Amino acid sequence: MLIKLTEFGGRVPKAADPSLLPDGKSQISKNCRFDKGGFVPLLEDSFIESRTSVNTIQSLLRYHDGRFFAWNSDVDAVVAPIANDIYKRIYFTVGGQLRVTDKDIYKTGGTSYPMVSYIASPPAPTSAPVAAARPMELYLAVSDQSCFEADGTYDLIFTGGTGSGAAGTYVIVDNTIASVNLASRGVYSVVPIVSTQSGDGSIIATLGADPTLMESRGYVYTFVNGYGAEGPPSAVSNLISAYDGDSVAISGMQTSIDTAYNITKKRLYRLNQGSTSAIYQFVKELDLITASYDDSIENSDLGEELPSAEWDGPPVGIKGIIALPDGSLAGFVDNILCRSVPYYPHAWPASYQKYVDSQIKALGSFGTTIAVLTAGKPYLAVGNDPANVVMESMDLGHSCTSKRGRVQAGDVVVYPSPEGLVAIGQGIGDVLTKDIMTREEWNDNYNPSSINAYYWDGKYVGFYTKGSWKAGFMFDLKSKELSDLTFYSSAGFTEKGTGILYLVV
Amino acid sequence: MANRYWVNVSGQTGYWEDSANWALTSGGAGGASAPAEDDIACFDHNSFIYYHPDVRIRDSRKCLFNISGSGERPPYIAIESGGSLELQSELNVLAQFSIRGSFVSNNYNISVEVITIDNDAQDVNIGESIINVSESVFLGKIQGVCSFGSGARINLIVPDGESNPFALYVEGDSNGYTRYPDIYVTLGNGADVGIIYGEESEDCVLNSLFVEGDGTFRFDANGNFSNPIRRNLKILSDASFNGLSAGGLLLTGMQWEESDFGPWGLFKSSGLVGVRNCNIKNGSASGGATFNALLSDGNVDGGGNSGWNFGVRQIPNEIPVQTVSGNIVAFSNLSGRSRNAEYTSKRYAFPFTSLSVIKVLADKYPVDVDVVYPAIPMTMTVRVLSAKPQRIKSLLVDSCEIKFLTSSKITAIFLASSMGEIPI
Repeated sequence: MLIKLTEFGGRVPKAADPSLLPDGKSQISKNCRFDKGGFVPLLEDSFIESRTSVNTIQSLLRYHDGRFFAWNSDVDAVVAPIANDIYKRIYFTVGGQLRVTDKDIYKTGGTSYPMVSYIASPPAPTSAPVAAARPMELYLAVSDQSCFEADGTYDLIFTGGTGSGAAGTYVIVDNTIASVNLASRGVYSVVPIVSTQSGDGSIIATLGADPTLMESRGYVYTFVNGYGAEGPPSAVSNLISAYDGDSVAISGMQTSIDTAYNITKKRLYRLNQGSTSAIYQFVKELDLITASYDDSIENSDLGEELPSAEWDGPPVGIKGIIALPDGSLAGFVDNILCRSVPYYPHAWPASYQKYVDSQIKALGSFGTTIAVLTAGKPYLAVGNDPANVVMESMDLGHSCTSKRGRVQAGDVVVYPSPEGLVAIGQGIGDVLTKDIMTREEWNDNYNPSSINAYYWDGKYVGFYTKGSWKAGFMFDLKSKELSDLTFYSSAGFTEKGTGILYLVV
Repeated sequence: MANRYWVNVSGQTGYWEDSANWALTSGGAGGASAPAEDDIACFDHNSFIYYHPDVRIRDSRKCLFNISGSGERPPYIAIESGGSLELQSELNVLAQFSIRGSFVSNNYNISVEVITIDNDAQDVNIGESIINVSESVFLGKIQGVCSFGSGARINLIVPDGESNPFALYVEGDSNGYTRYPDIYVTLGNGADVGIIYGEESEDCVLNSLFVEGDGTFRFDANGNFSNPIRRNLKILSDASFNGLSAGGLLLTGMQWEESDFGPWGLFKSSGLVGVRNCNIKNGSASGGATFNALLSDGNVDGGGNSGWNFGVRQIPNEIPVQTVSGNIVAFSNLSGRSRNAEYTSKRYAFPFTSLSVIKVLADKYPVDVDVVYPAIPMTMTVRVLSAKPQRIKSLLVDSCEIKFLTSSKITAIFLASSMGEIPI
């Protein structure tokens, strides 16, 4: 009689009779792995640093310089999807806000990193600008040269209108007005009537150089934070009529705001009417404290179109942000899926929002598709452009029981459901643990609503609480081997690149 | 080495040193010398003229035993005060083994209906022996040192339909002289037995307690039984009550001989106690362990209980509670330093055979491997020192499991009946 134990594998709670276990499966496996041939105990952990925390750390991030950001609440953090970001920004959702910190401020004033952060999205100014047309100079044009007066030079006669100061002469040669000389244009807001000494001929006075470019003009402005991120515009100013090149006085702009927004500048835009449409174009960037500005820029010198017309911040309550390969971020509030503009992580247009029929619990992604894990069935948000996303519900109807139990395993999203560990990916939708434990065993053993989990070396590493019990488990996503862990971690962070899983223990 | 046959010419009771009780051949004439060291003391069908011959040892003896053909008349063997016995072989098929003197098992196993280690016993060294008992165990207050090695255990094997109570009497040891035994109780189909009790002034303390089988196991003094648990039952290591029939484990209505002893209690400092099909009433469970008595496992909450969990199952495997200390670590990243890991294989079932050789391929030695025989039940711990095949105590079994707790990487384990079957 020879008994050969040459294959080692994870435990299978589903097997009621240990003699019915398949070869290579176990009744008990703790602190071990089976993907390196045989039974391999896990290595011990490397001590990195000590943290004295009165409260339990729930969220962790290792910054690019090796320091750890730690939060005592459930925080989701991502590296800014910005090319060559000189600020090395980290965006994170905490307390229902999207905040940002950077390489300088995170360590300002202490070591409980991040020490300082700002609200990431500049708000819209609360006050609209006020526009006032400057009084304009007078221009003259001769519309009828015939004038029966003796040759000579005579004074122009100005009557009516609002304003004063205009003075000039005209020259008669052979009963025609040969020229007009406006010595002083004066300042008027309503044009006067201009006439010759005899009243013959016709001279038209206008305000502004080119009466064909008179337009109805409005102004908006935006806030810009210290990183150059621009928020949505203010309400539009009062509309005024002006000619191209005329001077318009802009006032009433907000000059202060909560410092939590880190606002340093504001940008002024002017409605520019074209032949077929009107757009707001950049006029001038002003310091936050600047209250007014005189705009005399001609239309041809206006700058780029206002980009941030829809760049609202994310809704209050935003959480669960993830970074997507298209450069955008995604997050959620209740049952609303929110997206940012690609490469503008502070800009979350309301028009990008999508709604599902259950409360969203967590997000994951594969390719450009977002897996929306809910308290009901999961959804997929499909589309390359955040502005044109289509929501699809999945036939796999398993809810997500724990936001912190969601793990992004490469291009597969793994999460705890009442049925077991579920995987969603391209062409993938399955309960991974169904062959090794029943729904009851999963819920009894691992209390899936309490799980916080991380991805490590092809494995789902989860930790759970059950009353006063705290422990963990490790599930190999490829071989589906299950091993219990005889310790607990309240928070962790898997570092991309090195693949190292940092844990708080 | 010589054979000496017990012929018991002197009557029901005979003394070991009396040469008249020993013959050179089975049923031969008495007068041979008593068996000395390395001799074999033989008891066969010719030894049992009297029902349960009473063999008493009152001096120092060391020998082997060969007891056969005893039928319904197995002998009593008693080590009297001042006497001593050191085994050189297994000691099987005894009606009763009573120790009032000194005893050294030398790790040999013992099979007996009743074992009594009396209050007056001197030094008793059970080593790693397994004592299979079919009726009762009495472990008194040892006057000397009573030691049970790490592999020692007492098996109580109750036959089908048995309803006579057996007693497991483990007196407390306030002097700290007793290393408490592991007790395994296997109940036959329909068996309805059980009493575990301590002495009036001391708790009943066991290292571990496992109760399995098809019958009913009772702690209480109600119903058929008259002897109560007199004090708390303390279990130092593991405890489980599994696979019992509908009668299950009854922890009901503890009776007290003196009212000031307080409520009945089951004490375990850590780990897990699980019971099935139990009616638990007026029982307290305490000490820090998790006490699962889930209603979904057929248990009944009879009221008046404390410390028992009748609701959702707690963690099935014993996992230590850890307090978050706030250290940040890189998980499983310390090169060359493995943590302790645990593994229990599937249960291998096969026709009755003996397993006597083990081979373990590991990256470092020694490796301690538990060979578990669930049907007996018993666990044999083997310290494997190298990759060479190693002999283990041979037992006739029909199933086994392999269990280990180690920081070594293990690539293969072989268990075989003979050395020749082990792969090279």
